[in-house]
Amino acid sequence: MAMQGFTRTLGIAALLLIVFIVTTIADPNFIGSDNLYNILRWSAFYGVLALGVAFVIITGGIDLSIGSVVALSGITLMILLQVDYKDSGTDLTIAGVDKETKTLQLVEDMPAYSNLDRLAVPNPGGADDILLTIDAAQTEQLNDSRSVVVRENVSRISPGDVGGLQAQSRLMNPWLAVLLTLLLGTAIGVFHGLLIGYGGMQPFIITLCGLLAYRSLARIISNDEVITIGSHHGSLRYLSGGQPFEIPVPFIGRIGNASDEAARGFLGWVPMPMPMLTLLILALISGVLLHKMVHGRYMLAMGRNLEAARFSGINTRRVTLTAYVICSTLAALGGILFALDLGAVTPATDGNFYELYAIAAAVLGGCSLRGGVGSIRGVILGTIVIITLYSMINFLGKSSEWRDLIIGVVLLLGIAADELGRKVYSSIKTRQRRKKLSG
Amino acid sequence: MTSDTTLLLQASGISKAYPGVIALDRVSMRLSAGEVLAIIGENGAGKSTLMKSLAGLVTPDGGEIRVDGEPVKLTNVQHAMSKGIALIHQELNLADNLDIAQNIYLGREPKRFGLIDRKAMNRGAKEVLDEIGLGLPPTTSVSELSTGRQQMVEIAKAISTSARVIIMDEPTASLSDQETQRLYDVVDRLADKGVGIIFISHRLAEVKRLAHRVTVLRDGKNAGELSREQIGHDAMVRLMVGREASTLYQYESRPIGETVLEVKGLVTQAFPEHRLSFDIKAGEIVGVAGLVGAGRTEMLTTLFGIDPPLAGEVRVFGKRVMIKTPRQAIRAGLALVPEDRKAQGVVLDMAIRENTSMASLKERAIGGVLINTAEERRVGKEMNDKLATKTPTLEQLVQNLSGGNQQKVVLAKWLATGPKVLLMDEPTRGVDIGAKAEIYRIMEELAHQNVAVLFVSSDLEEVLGVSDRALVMHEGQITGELSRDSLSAEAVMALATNTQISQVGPASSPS
Repeated sequence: MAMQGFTRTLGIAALLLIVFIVTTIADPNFIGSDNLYNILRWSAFYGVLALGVAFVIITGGIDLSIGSVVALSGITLMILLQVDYKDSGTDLTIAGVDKETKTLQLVEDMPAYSNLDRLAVPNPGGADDILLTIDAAQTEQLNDSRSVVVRENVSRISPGDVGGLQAQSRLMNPWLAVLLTLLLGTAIGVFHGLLIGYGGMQPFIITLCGLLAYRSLARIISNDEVITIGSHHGSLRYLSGGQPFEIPVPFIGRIGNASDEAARGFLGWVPMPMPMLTLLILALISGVLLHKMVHGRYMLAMGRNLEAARFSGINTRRVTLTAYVICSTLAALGGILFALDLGAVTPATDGNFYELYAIAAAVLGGCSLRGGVGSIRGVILGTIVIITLYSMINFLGKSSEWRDLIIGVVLLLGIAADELGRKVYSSIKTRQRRKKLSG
Repeated sequence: MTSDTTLLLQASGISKAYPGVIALDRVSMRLSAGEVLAIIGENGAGKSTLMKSLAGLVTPDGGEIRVDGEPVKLTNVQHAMSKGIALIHQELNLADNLDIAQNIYLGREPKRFGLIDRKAMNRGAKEVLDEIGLGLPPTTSVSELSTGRQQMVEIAKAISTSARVIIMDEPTASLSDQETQRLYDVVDRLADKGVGIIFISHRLAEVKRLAHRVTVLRDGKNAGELSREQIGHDAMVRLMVGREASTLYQYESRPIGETVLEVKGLVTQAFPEHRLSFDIKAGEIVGVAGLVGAGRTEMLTTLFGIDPPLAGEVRVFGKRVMIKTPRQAIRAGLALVPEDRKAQGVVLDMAIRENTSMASLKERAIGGVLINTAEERRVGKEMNDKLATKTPTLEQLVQNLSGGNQQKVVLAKWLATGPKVLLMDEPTRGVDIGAKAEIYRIMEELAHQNVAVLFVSSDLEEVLGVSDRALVMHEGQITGELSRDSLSAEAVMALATNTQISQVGPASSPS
């Protein structure tokens, strides 16, 4: 079994290598720093989902609700992060306007404000006020208490206009919003786990209901409208867009036609996407959980033989519950990452089919839908293979309608090769036994 | 020797290997028209594999099967049926949701204008039902029938395919006395008509009553053959075990200590109308006898918290324990070697090491969460050395072990928990003779170490040979308790069928 898992991982790694070589020959930019960065980043988004569903698959279950949990948690986060403005009661009279630098001179001193507070200036040509968002960083650089830099175009503002200062008001601390959204995922997981583990209901049906219901909920609470956070919450968006450090990769600068001379050295540098760093940490924890901890052993055992696990005193209901909790919580994390990446969530379509991509990645990575089999490194590799194939399709100039066909075929071939290998292995064993018998 | 011309079925040199075990090693048998042949042997002797080979369910690795003198390669059940061979499984294969006629004609329904011809079907079914003396309307739903009558439907189905060879795997295992009698009559009648019958049985009295000839298997090989005149209890046992029966069971009395397990008024979910009470003392091995369905397994699974009890009191060393889950049972010092080893005892595709640590992993874990790999290996080695599990390495998958060694892994798992009470359900089912003797030795050794051992067995000789005391159950009730001195096959059977209290009535329908 262990041996089989290892050959499986080797097989996926080989497949990955082939895809890289073939596509790089067709277009060297494929292994350029930018594309590698993108592959890593997108792999991380989907990898979080695949990692979660792997636990459910290993315990012998399935979770079809992931995509809808992505949408529901994304939209919840967007709602919790909404920024509102309140009149502070202070009016500022504008003394001068610099259209180039978007700077306004004021008659009075600028009162206390925070970044992204805004000025509402009556618009002579329309009903709505002209809204000017204060850029705190730029303003501070001026070091002038009577000047303020804004982000918007100021061409319609003239001296003498009076702007009302509006203070930004948030529903809650953005990190608290993230925590609450994760807890929403956890709650969904508990719900699934109770019904499936303790209620003995079928995971396919329960999570199918979830797939339908959570999508609908996401649309209801958002009035089926796209919700954005605009340019707010920059620090939070580090979670999906941050680059904590760079990783050296040999040769890619030379092959990948790096634009500047410095990048053409022996080592190319690829920024580490923050979500990938998160995924790697999660994978490490998952690996320890699955292979080093009692709970993980219980998961593997009950995935292979639920009855025997129960007869050995394993609380199979509780183990089932935890698998669904992990899955839905990670789905919510995925939802958070996807939402922060775009800064907007479309409740009707975001996350559609993501559960199937997650399951495909887990299965390609060696998880058996019969339960009890799977490795964390396989799941991560499986996700990277799928994302790399997507990227390949882009690079080879195929349009996106080809995408799922190619993923489908690769998955099919992977599973077929695995099954074939097993049959060959067992027929060799049988032959050996027969030889022993006749000898 | 019967001359070749009248031989219906002949198998010679049949071999079949499974991972870790050679099920059949050049086994031969023959069957003439109108003959009733009994195949006997210990569990794991290869009887079922041989029957399956003859019925096309299993493809032998080697050997030859002849039907009417013609060599055939039976590739599947349909093929065997077309040659006139029908197998009736131990676990019946009827579709519960269909009626008798639909079951008899399943897969070969008479058609009229492309539609199923119900009239022809019912007519044909009625004919075969009359033939075997089962006077039921063909439209009776199978789910309403007792196990015995379902068995009859299986036989009717075989006859309706104009089978000339009918193979029955332990046909009376779950039948009442009356039903058993009726089955005997049907077998006699079919034989008179020239049908060849092969049956597997563990009941030697039944073999004596029915068989014209006996073929004995032992450890996957032919062990001998008995003609009608030679068929006798001792002769059969000698061929089956390969030595005198007495050598397998070497009972020695042990010093009996204080009470370990005390059960008072235990009510199981399966038989809520009965209360079970008994106790076991340190050093005692108590056997539980009874017919299939007497509630013996349910008693063990209830004690172990698999199916929580409805009422009752359990004490271990005088201390009251609440057992609603297996985990609580393990904490209270109980261990259960379950009836179905492959489904409940072991995880087949996990290593011996992982199986052995399964029930004590948490207790030995670092901080209760992190697996202590060194400790896991040490315990795995210690326990399996103690039990002499035959394997090159602890990393071997349990599916590659023989039945006996798999059972030792189950025992190793429980020994690792340091049990005070060992519950065993059919501990030697599907285990070869050698391993059987070893398992008895382990039971005795544990008893010596003051573990209370309670085992359920359908093998009467085993109950008689191993127990210090026996409880006998009938329809969910403990109908009697027999001390070593009063322990006899007759006494057990009387209690198991509850003949003193009431005459055997029609069997209740199976659950």
